[in-house]
Amino acid sequence: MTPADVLVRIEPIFRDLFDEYDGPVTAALSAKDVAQWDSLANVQLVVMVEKAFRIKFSVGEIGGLKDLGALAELVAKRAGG
Amino acid sequence: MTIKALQAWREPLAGDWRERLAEVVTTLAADREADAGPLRRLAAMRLGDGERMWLRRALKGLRTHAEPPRGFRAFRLLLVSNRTLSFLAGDLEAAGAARGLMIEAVEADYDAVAALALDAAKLPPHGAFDAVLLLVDAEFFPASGDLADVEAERASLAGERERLEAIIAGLARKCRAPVLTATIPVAENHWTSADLAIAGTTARRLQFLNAAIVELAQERRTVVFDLACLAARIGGFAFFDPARFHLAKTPFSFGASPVVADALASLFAAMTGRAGRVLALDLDNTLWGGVVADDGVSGITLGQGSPEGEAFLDFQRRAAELRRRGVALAVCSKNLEEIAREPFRSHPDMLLRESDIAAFVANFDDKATNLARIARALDLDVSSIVFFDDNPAERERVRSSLPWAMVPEPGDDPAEFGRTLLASGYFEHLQITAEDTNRAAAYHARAEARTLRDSVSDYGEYLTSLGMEMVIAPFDAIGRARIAQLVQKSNQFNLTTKRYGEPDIEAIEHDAARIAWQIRLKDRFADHGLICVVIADKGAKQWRIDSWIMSCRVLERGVEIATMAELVARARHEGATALIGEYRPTARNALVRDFYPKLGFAPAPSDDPDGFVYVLDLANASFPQTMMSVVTAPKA
Repeated sequence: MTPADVLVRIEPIFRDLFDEYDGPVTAALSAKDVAQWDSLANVQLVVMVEKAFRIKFSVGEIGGLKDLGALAELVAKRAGG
Repeated sequence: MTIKALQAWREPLAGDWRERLAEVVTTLAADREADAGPLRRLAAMRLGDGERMWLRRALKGLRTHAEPPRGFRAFRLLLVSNRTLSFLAGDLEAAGAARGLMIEAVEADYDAVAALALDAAKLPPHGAFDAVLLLVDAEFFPASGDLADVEAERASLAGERERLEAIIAGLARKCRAPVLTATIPVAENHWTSADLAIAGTTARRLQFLNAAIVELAQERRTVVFDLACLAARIGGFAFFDPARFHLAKTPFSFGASPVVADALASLFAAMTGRAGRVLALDLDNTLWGGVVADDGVSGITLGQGSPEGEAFLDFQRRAAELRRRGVALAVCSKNLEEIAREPFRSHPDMLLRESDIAAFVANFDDKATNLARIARALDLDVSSIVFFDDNPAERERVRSSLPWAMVPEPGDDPAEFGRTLLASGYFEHLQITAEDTNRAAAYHARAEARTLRDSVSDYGEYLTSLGMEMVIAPFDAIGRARIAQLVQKSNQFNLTTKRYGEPDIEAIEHDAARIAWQIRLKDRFADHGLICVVIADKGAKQWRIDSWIMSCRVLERGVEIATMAELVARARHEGATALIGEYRPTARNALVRDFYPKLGFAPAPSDDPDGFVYVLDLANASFPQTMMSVVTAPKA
């Protein structure tokens, strides 16, 4: 699975969570672009993605995510390995 | 896996759940009189994260109305913790909806527990709360001293207990609401098997504090939320997730959060009188294996001799335990009545007997109709019934025509029935009073009295035949808990719906400027216990009735007439010339809209924008004769 494939699968989760956001879901998207994306929602997003891909991130992995692309890359790496 | 088992009672998620939710929300938004039962049903399905989110959004939309949707009750909760409970707050909204509650959970400032309780910090600006949840973890009670130093441990624990007590008391005083205290899960701090035997270990410390919480509950200074027990059921490692803890300071894993929310919601349901009062049981393949009409009494699977038979017997044991706790048992079976009763009479392994069943309905009518019959026979609403049936078609029928009846999934294996029923939390209850334990017997009596009523044609004659005795007594220490329970739980026969907690009730008891009566009723069938509470302010000339609450169990027996006659006599005796009454309408108390006019009160100008005021001129007030003897205790 490439990060781009992952992003496609993350999109519906993302839209469920941030229902007021109607712009495009891209790798460059980050918390500053989405009004509903606060620290709590960030944790929620991580947990929902973990569940969807049946993986669990380590505590160090989650801390450094700067945008949606970084999350997709992490998932691709973990799900692929 | 166990988190899943704890949700097994929920109805499987419907494929068209989102469409149905949208439809229900549209209906409720357009018509505020529309019954919100279907919303409760959807909320009680096995929701995933996405559905829970949708549900929360739907509830948020409905919350813009002043009143909750019809059948729902608003419940405001203050969360006080040394950890982050934002997730729980969200999950509580969804969990509450499954029990007809619109929960609004407000999180107090992170880690301001002591400051909030001990007055330095302000309450969040949200008006009154229905309850406060105090949930702290092991770090709130840091270990000190060397291991095996018994003296140091004793001194330190005594100090911690005092701190805990002060916080609970402070929260109760400040919020004027019952404080629920969560017990603290121990597993994460349990290092070795020897831990509980070594002074100074954290495991031992937590166990001591949990025991202290329980003692405070016994003294009615708090309500236990047994999080430690729930954590043990889930399994310590699934309950607590260190990675998530370090990410978001959550005291339990995200997976556990909806289950914790569910356990809390069932506790709130119990606090607001929404827990199950009746367990209506199917028979074939629910109470025993096989079909009695086909297999005969000797052919059914029950009791010693087969693992399956033992499992059914164990389920009967659970039902019997519920009865011991005041839940009425009913039978709702598609059978010929004589055949359905046969195992109760003659099967040697049958644990439940006919005398355990308050209402026995066996016929070929549909079960929704029969559940309504059972409710009528026991003078309860169908929303008090928990219906347990192995047949999915019957469950569907009942859920769709009686959306307020509680219908848990039993699961496929009779060995799991009891556990699943317990996990539903439908029979959650608070501290048990002696009256609770008599309640099951009282339901029987009520069903019998109803049979008698059907056979006596003249109603007055019927009332006379009951041989009722009513006792009026002042509030006292023994009655306090039950009085507070009635004051907090009664919705229908409640004129002003003022909710006083136990501390308020105690203050009223000692207030010489008030009349505070607790009224009990007995008849030849049952001791109904405390059935009415009246609080009135004694003015010089005008007395004002502050609260008038009655149990709906004793409607139309003349209790209110006899009580009002006593109150009038008392007011006259003390020189008053008028009695003022007030009716404050709520979503649930339309029953008493005409309470005062029916008793001869005249409408008066209202000094309360939320209420209707009535006045009774004591000079010419009179009341009809009632069919009961009235005993007034000396100090009342």
